[in-house]
Amino acid sequence: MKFKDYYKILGVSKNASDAEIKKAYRKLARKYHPDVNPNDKEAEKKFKEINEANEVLGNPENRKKYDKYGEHWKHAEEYEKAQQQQRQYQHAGGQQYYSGGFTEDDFSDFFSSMFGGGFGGGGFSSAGNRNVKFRGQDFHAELQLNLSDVYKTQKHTINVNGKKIRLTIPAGVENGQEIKIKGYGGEGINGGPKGDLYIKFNIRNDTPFKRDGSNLYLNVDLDLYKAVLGGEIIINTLDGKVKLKVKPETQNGTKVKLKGKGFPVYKQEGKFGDLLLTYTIKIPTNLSEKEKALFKELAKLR
Amino acid sequence: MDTKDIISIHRFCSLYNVPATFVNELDDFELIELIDLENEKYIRKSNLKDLERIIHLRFDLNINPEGIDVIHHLLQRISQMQEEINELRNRLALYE
Repeated sequence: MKFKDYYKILGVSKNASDAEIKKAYRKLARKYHPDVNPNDKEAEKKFKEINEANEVLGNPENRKKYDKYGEHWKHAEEYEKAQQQQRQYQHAGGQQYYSGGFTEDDFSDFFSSMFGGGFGGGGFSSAGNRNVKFRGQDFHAELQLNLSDVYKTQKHTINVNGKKIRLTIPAGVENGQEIKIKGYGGEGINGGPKGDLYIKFNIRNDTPFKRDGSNLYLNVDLDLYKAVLGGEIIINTLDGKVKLKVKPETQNGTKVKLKGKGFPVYKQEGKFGDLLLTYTIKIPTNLSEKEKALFKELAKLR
Repeated sequence: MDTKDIISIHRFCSLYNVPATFVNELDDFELIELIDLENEKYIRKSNLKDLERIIHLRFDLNINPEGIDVIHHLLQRISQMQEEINELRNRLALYE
């Protein structure tokens, strides 16, 4: 468990006045509040840190204890016992905390070890302050999938906070896409509506294709002789093997479009993008003397 | 309208411990849509998430309604831009 320098977190000196601490905290809270930094995990982390720092430095009793023990907080138990009565009195009023859906669980292990849990006026969502909850909490989850998995509509069962949720993931879902499942968040209070469940998809490409929306791209190596004389090749698409004719005198970099052999279009059943092939012509290497002679002969003919 | 989808301003203000004048202020700035029903004003429960955010901005960060209006628009733009960034990132994978 690492020691936390709360003064450094709030950017104030060790002899900062209460007013200076309050000012620094308010300034940082405005900067990192989750409601002005949506989907920013770094800001969320910072916001938790500054709230924790304020919980300690913004409370004279906590600050005294922190200043006294600092890095040696593990020996603070005796002090804790001696001050217990006084502390109970001082915390009865509670403090003004910025909310934003945080709970006491968001405090660090260092904080819990030094100050214990469950005090401090109830943390961020105490019944005594303004933020009485009515609507349930939103849950956020991330789901890792392979690109080959989302080629077809999938049924998944996920576990969110001990609750099993059956999900249908439509084919063609995008990497980084977030879907909202209404009413699958936390329970509302006092008859309030349930929160929502947000699932973000992280899609790993386990195929040789590159994807742009519903179109797929593939580089295909073509040997020189097939490119010059023409022939047939077999392409493995996500839909199975496709036999393809190669025209004689095919140039390097030639693009071929296979209509409807791309990726499914999200929420448009039966509709697919295209597969776009780019030929890369491979020049033979390690030529034998006979081959070299034949190429020389060919060159003379041009 | 199904009354289970709406909440009266009176109840909302008491649950969230905010003054009624705050809701009227938001209405004036067209930050929320109020529903008139039998001489009482209501809020859609589906708007509660946005309203909770507005409450945090107003009372936690001391931002006035004009500021909330600006932030509201900027957040919408951020959301659009995040979607666009994600789309462009996915497209960039084509060239990597």
